[in-house]
Amino acid sequence: MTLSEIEFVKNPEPRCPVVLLLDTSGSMSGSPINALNEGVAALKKDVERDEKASLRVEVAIITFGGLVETVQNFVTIDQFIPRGLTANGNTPMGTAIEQALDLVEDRKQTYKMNAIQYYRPWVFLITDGAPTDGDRWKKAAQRLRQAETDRKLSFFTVGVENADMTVLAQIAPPTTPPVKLDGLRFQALFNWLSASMTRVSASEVGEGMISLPPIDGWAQTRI
Amino acid sequence: MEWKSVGERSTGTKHLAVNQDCQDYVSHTTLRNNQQVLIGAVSDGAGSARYSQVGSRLAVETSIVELQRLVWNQVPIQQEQAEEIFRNLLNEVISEFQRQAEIDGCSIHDLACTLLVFIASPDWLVAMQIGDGMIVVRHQESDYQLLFAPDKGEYINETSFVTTPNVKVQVCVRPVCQGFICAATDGIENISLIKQGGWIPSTKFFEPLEKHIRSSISQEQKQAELHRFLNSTKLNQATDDDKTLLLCFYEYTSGAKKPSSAQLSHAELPNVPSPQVQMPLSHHLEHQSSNQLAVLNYASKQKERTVAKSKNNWRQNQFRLDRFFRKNYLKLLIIGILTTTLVLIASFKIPLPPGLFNPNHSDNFSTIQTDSNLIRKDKVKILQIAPDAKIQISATLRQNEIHNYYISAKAGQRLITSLRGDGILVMRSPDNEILPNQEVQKQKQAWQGSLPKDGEYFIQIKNENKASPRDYKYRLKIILRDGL
Repeated sequence: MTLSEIEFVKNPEPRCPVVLLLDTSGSMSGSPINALNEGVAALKKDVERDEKASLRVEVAIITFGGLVETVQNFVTIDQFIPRGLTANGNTPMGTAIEQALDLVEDRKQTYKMNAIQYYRPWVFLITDGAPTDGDRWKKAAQRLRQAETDRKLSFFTVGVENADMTVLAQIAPPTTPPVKLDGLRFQALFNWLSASMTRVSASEVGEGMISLPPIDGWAQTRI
Repeated sequence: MEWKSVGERSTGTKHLAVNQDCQDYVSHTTLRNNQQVLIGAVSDGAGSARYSQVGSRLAVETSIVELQRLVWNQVPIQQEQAEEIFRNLLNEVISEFQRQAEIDGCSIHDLACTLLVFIASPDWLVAMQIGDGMIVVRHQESDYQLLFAPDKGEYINETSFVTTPNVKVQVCVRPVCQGFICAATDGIENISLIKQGGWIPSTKFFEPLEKHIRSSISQEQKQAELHRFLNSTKLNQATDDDKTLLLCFYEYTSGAKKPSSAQLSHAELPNVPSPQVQMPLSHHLEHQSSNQLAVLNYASKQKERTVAKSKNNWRQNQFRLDRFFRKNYLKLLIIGILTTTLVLIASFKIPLPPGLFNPNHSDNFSTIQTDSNLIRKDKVKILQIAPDAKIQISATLRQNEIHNYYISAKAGQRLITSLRGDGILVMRSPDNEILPNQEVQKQKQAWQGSLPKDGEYFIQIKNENKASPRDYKYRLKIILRDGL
């Protein structure tokens, strides 16, 4: 029975990175920011239910409200502790997008250096406004669309309440146009995000297109 | 002295949970007439492809059949030649996929799968890999070595498949005996290769496998234990994917001497195999010419296979043939008289002496399943084909001839054609323009696509080598159907 002597190699889990790019400008204060905080907490809870996903899904948070700040660098979900976000200041969305793109590329370098395999990163932009940092967003949009075309990442855009959907449509890659959140259904949005990340992080070789859950639980259906 | 080999596959728990078949396939065999040469193939069907379990099986079986047709001997070949062999093999696999896709009414991408193939003798190994999975080898006192890095994209859930356009085919040639060979699909990868430091095969994984294949227990027991291992809880906890292992070991039987070639110094070693297209009869005759019964059986088996597979290979090594005929003319004559199956020789285009057993090829069109009007013109043959046809044509293209097959078709109908044999196929529109061919890889020998307008299309079969034209046979398949 020589086969019982076989020892398995323990390789690190592959990682499935997602950047939450969150608008924390003054207009988000009150019930929107509270609903957003609850949503982020729900994301952790949901992903943790799946043991494999909690070791594979890595989350980072960049906020833009006055300042652009990486409030959470990449951690696996099991080590992620959501902190309450507060809202104030204007909406430097262009700078924030560029920071997210840099963060993703840095993370990939870290993975490569440590021989960790990974899934295609997601960047998830949630905003209730329009960029206030001049024409910066145009440059950022160009860069992110190129990154999306080069398959460097997947980019999703969600507009909340009075978000400028026209500008968002110019930012979001044509393949994934912006979606309007239905009211303040952040919780349903993050349920969907965690279900999607769980699916992606369990996908096997050859599943080029992963079918994501339907978004009608949180997105406004257009007329 | 012989190869010991055992291959097993097992459905992953993820697929069992949703009642899916195992998408992996594995097969191995030695050459019919040379037990010293082993061919092995494994394939992993793509998770996203509908019929990938059909694809992986077809890819493996086609590989085994095609490589068995080649004569592998000791004349050195180079990397480039090995690359050509495997490129040809890939083309054969794609042709089979196109045929299968036609039967199943699907795209070849629905059959997407990886493919790993090796041919090994006591003196050399050639191997190829498309996509992920692995071939690990070891010779004498060396460590376990991975032949190719798994062909992953940037992301873990991506790889390439035999159906990927312009797919990367990794090929290698090893001019020394690889006593131990293990081929596996990617279900085994994460537990056997150490990724940190660059995909290093773990001795703690492969050594027990080598011990297993080397052990003196019976073949059945080896198979059973490997089966048990692949279905064990321990393994299923580590991976939920389908998994396949093919283990091979070349054993020198006790007391027997190593083959002399293996004792040559490295410089004298016959580098690699020289593949020549197999001439089953001649090869067999050289070894067994005194045994006419064996020849007969072999010939009729060959015929069955030829008929069953509907394929032929007329590429020949002229030099070998001439030499063979000089040596065996009389023997061949006697055997020929004894066996009517020698007519089969015609199928292999062996240049028999004029007037002797030269089969009747005067009228070259034998059309199946269709009413056809054959119009003969000088050097041009025209065949009118009814719409909604599915036909197969065997014919001989004489020097300087062009064969034209006219097809009346409507816009939007789909036409699928493929050519076996030398020569090239050109598809022309009703306006006599060459139609671009984007759907198939083997562009000179197949055309497939939707027709842009109503009218008379025609398929031209031409001699490939304009400088020195010669007669050759071909088989053309034409399928015309409405819509997709």
